[in-house]
Amino acid sequence: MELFWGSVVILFGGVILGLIYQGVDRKLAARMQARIGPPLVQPFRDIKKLLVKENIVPENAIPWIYNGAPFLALAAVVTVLFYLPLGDQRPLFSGYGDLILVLYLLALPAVALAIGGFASGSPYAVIGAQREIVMMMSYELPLAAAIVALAWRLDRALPGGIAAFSLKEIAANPIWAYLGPLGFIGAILLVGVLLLVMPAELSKIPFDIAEAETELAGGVTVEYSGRNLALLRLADAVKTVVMGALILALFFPYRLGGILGLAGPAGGAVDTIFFLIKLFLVILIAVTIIRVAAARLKVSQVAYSFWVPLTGVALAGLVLIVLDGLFFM
Amino acid sequence: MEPTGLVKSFQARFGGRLRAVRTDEVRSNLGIYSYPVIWFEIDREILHEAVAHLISFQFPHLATISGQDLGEELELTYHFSIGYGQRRGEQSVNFRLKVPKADLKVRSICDLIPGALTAEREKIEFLGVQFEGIPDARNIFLPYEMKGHPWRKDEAGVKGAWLK
Amino acid sequence: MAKVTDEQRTYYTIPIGPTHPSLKEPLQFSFDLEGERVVDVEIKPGWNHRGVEVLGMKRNPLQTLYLAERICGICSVSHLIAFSRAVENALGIPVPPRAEYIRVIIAELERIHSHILWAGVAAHELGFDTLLHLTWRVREQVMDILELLTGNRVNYALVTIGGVRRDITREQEPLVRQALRYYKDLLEMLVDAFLHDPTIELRTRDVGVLSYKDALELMAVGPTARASGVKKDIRVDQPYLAYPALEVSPITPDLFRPEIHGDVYDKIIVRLLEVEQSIGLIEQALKKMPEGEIGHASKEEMTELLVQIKEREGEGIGRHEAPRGELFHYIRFQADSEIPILWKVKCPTYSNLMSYRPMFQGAQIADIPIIIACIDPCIACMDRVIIRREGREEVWTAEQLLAKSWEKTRRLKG
Repeated sequence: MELFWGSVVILFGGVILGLIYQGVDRKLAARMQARIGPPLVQPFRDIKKLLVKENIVPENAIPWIYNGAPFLALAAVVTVLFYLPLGDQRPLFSGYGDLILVLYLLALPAVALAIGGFASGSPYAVIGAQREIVMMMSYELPLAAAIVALAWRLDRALPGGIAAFSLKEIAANPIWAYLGPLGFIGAILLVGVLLLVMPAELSKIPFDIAEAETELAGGVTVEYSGRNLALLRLADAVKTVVMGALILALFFPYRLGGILGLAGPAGGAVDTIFFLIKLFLVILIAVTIIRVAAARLKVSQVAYSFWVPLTGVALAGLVLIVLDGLFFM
Repeated sequence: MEPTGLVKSFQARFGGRLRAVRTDEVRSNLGIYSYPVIWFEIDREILHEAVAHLISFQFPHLATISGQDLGEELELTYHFSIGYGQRRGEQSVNFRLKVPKADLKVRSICDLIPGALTAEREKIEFLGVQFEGIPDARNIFLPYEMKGHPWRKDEAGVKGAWLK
Repeated sequence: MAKVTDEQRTYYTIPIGPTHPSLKEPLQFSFDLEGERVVDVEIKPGWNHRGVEVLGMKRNPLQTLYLAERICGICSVSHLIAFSRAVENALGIPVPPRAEYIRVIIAELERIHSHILWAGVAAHELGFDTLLHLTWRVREQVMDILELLTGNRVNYALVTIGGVRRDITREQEPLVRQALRYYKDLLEMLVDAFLHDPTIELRTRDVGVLSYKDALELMAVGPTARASGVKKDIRVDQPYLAYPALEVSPITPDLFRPEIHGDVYDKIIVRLLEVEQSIGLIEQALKKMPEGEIGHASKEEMTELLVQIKEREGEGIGRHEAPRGELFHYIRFQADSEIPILWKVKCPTYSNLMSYRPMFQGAQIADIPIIIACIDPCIACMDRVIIRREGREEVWTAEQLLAKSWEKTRRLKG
């Protein structure tokens, strides 16, 4: 029963939070671009409008795949939310899965989007889907390297190790306390890598090549409309929260309530607010500022920058953390 | 290149096939400068040769080809200029030729000046001129399936459903 | 999606246009693709062909002035200058020197606004919307100056046959100078934002290359040709208006970087440097402009002009270096008719169209929008319809908007 109500709260909470952060992101980006920008509730209005609009399935699309992909994308990201520690809460599904599962679930929305794109039967969507796959192959390795390095180091540092990459334990034991100087540098590098993987995962400029408005007129989502597009928008909003919360859980799981020695409902409230502020900062840096300050890259440039420099940095971070684990115990 | 030199060179080369030559001096209203605009009237047979001769001075700039329906024949004017790139050195050179409606063939100059393609395709669709040796003779500004030539004043003009 | 098979290779054909987010006016491209690489392109213009030339052959030149101005919204004064010069050359109508200077000032102001507008569009095509918003905001200053001098943001109705219709007064000069100073200071920021930005350089260096030979043979004009090193600039080669009295030289990218690539980056260089050049030209023109007539005709003089047009015969070419390149008007009159028997307009994009093909060779899909934009095809203007302020929402009718714009023009005039 607790699981049921918990999932309902997280489902709606995640969606609402995602949309609020999207509104904040749009407003801030607009201000940085010397515009006024839409009101904060604009994303809610957009979703509301899309939900009452006609859902058009193109003639040469494969309807069941085309309609199923947005559901799959949203379901996958919401599921990740169940595994992440949010605020003072321990993960809802703690004990049912671990970081590796989260990694796989994170790949699912992109796959769903690509499949939906291939199934829409439009050349723009097909090219967008190809690009989505290329993107995924590009950022998966740095992402995996960062997460694995961290979990391994924590496993070595804690007496008795941690239970199979459990996010609950990673969140309960902030990594920074266990690191020597080498590991510290390594961890900083990994934070940087994750902050760059985040806009790629979220298809934001400079990595929005799969949607690329001026090139592909929306790419993978070009044929989507009405309810399907609303679901894709929701999945995108929730994914922003998911990626932010993941980075927080891995690197900055500190709880203000715990530090201040507050307990009970007061501590919970302080923790939740603190978490929201942290989340805002991560999204501000990884999404808003980067997308305001850069031009869109080409596919080849994205693939190169993720495979060569970013993977290099991630591997360097991994090696530093491994060395740290071996010699600075 | 002096305009008189250019004209003389053309006269020496083409003789009687150069039907008429006129040079206009366009004066600046500030009164400190003028430039020549040369008009050659030529036989359509020597167009290709004349353009090649013009290229021997400098690769010319072709602005466009203008054309009109004179009744029995069509008139085409090729608006070139040479001497660009030099301060106050540019002079306009125009070739005018007449094409009888019975035989609308003109030799294409695309082999000499690839950039003439747009202008020639426009004349095909608007006037119905046939350019021999043009690499692409389809319509450009008008729909591919368009019937009739808008600038023609005879029965080859636009009519029927194409006129609103 | 059509598949084209050519010697066992499979190409995909993808259409861009006639309507597409990266196009600001209807133009159809059909690309043969091999993966992300462009193999060939076919271009079909004409989706907006209005038969303006034929319309002009049914009106007298004074009526055609308004038609010529509306061929293009961005370079409207360019069309007017070229058209008026064609008529003046054909019939030998003199223009007072002061009017020639005023024409230069307006033409150069238009070049500034057109190039800044282009820079914003280019940034947008690259997915760099921040630069789009910033450049379009700074463009407002020059739009205000144009409105101050002519009464309109676009379609200034300033140039007429034999002169201009409005003078630049003593009170207006300091405001123009102030705007020029504003752009001088700003130019450093623009150059920094465009030419020293790593992502822009990544996206535009060696993209859309037009070689010197291709630019020459395919009749490229304007910044497109100059970025490839072809020094075609009518203001220098065959000076007209007041340009013979002003110092002007063709802008090529080697003024900024040692070698010429002929790519999109070079086109950005040329356009930004031309903004600087235009500022200098306006300053020179303001300094050298003589006092005197501006050639504005009263109603009676207008009738006389029309009689002259009717009596004389002749043909004339009017060329103008528009922001996008050579604009060419040719007109021919017969005696006893004020209606021209031939009017031919050639806009810069007409000449630059052929250059697209070599520029697209080997390009990626991601390069398509910026290559399309790099020759700067014309774009429609901004509109002002709904104003939202402090939660209030007002919908403005056309009459209210007109009254509002008159009010603003009066405010600008002080």
